Amino acid sequence: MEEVAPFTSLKDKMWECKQCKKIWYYPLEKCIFCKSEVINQKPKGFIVKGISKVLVSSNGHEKIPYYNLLLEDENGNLHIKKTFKEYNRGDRFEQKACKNKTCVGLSSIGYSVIDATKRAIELIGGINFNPNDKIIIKPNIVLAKNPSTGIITNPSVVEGIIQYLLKEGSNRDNILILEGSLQDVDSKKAIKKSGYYDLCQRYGIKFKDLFSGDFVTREITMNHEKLIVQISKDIMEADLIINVPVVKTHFQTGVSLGIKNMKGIINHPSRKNMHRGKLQEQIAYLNTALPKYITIADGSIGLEGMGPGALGTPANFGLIIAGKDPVAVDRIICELIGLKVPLHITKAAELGLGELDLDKIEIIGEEMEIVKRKFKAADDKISPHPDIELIDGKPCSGCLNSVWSLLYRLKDISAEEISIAFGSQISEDMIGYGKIVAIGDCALNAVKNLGREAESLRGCPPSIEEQEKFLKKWLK
Amino acid sequence: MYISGIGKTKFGILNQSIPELAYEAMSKALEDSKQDIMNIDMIYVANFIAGPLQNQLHLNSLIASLLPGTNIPIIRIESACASSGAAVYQAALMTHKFNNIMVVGVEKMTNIDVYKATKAIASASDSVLDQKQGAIFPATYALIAQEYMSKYGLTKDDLSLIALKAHENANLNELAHFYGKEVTLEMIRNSPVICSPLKLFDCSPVTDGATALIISKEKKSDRDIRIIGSSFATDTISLSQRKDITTFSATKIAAKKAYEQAGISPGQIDFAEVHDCFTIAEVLAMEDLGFCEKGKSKEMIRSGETKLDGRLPIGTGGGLKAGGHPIGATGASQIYEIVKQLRREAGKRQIKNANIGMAQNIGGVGGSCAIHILKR
Repeated sequence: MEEVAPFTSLKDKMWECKQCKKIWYYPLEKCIFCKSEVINQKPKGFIVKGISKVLVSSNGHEKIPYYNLLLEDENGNLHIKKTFKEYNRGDRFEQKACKNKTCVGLSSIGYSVIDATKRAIELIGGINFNPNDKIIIKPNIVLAKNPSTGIITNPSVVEGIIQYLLKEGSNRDNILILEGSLQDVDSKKAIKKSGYYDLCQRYGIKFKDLFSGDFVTREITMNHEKLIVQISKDIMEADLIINVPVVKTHFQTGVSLGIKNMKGIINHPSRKNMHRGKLQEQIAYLNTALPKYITIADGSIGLEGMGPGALGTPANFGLIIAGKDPVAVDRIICELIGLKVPLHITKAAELGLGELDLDKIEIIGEEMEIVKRKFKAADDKISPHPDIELIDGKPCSGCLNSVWSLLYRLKDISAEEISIAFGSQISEDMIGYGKIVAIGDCALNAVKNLGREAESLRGCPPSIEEQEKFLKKWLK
Repeated sequence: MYISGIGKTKFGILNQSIPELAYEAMSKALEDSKQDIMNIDMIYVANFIAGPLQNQLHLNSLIASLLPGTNIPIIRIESACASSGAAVYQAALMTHKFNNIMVVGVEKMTNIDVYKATKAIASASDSVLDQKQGAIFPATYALIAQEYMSKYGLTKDDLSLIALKAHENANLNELAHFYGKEVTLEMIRNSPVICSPLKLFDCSPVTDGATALIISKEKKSDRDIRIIGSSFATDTISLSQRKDITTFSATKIAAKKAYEQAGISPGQIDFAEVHDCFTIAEVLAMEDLGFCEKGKSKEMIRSGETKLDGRLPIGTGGGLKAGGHPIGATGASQIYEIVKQLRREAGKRQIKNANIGMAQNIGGVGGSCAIHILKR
């Protein structure tokens, strides 16, 4: 008999009192009537009991017609489910479990991010490991932010993964959460503010600042160039890596998903070098040097617009996306959020890291059309200040975040028409004839190499205070 | 306790704002009761949706701003579409403490992006179990209709007859949303499907309006109408949390309590205002209130028993379906209509032998229900 997959937002949404058999549709722990334990009830199958074709749109449900199904499980409990597929009353409503490596699980978040995460793992057939395997969970904690910002991985997603691993027999001493924040970010503050410190305390799981560990050097052949990177030794020695990116837009790479999140396992000098070079291609090549990993992408909130940092906007996506093929996962997310598949993902596919063809990727769980949510793209061409142009020399996050934040804050103050250059990839055709101001060591050197005059501010990156003081003379 | 004053604005697509609508209804209720505002000891303001639609909450203080210097206790009550029914229930309970309590139900729903309004109305359902699945209220009532039709042999034409009766009654009520709109059975039958099997004319409209009632401990005049039953019950918020979707437990339980309180049986009700937000809701109400056996309401519909000249007129002012459904004002408006009938002040739509009337006010898809029984 074929294994039946759990249907997202249906099968795990019921909780039953062991004693008095009352049913709830909310993740509760204790019965208010008899004080007994409440357990998650998982119905085995559904019959379509009723169907209504909906022909009016509402916010969040713009595409019509769709169908509301009234489903009945084997215990006579009812469930309402949205679908774009046609059913008849009396039909069975189920799907087969995923057995294909290129399948991607879509788990819609109901009342519990933790449950949705565990469901996403079940959708892709679970995670295979031995009890003594060293397991690394790699979230994204780039800044010291609260998860509601959509900037960092929601610790509840990692909590769901930890619960799954412990239930399946992992030794908690073998689980390590590994992450390194941006260079100028206090990682201890980031861990506390993001909720990871509390999470680790509660589960007795270790957290390691990636930069406190050792790195191993890897030389990767990239076309005819050599890419030399320092990769976390912990990553290279892990038996199992679970990559837990947050679904974000990114001003330089279009999106920041699973493949991009793994750039976070190299040290600061390697990160800077990468930003100075062909960033997107290098991200793809870096992934070829890494052990295989599972991706469980956090779309609980997500970030759109000018991501990946504080200039983006929380997106309230409400979805967990999981898969064992890193390219397939990223490809599906791009489709779901309506953004172009960027070079680092297509290149990763070209390098044999996974499947890019939508027709060859199996979707399990939610219907794609149901959970699609268009994200506003990041646009690095538009300066947040109406009078100040930006010359994008592909700066690293240090210069970019600080310059953008500052210009955004100053956007209502008139300024002389100047062009701020940042990053090292600046060419003659980008500069034009106006007043050029270079911010950061990379831009300063690049403009100088072109033989152009520019007022400049040194630093890697210069602080926001220094930048504001420096730009003051052009503000009116 | 007694209803000693009633006031209501026109229901429909109006230019007035929430404060203006509430003020008009309150002023009319005071005028009707021949009382001064200073005689009012307390006010319950009922409203459902001003938060998401107008970004206006703290309505009790907003009402206080209409009554500068009074500083009386004013409390906002929200129970989705049953908000003002809940407010009347609460006011009735509070007559042990105060002599005169005003209930004002008010809602402003038009001149707003229809997508936003539909989503806001859906906030009366479960945010995950229903809203996330796009199960807007027309869809959930459609699922009820489908199940009921299959179980009890109700037809789409039966539902059309309910809609037709509502429009006929609304045409005799100048304050009704669809007053003056000629509606034929053919128009109803040919109207577009909203959520199958429900069509446009099976649905109540999006309406602005306000209604105010004054509930007094003592009888003040012969026009005062006695509340002989007042009850309120709740049930789970989502259809998916029920076993049988062709009946509303909240209605049955609240009705049982109200009948007991009034010391009467369903057969003694002369007429009723039921919560016909969708035509199928009237079918369920007739059975849940005990007006007929389960599955037999279609016979009452087909024989015309619920029309103005029938054995048990229902929705004499046009109901929610054609009278209008300004959510927070609806329950109070139903009681307004009962009082009009019991006072013999209903004009062209006045029914004969109106001695005991009942109002059934539902929240969401049967998640809450207020029942009031009034006697002349």
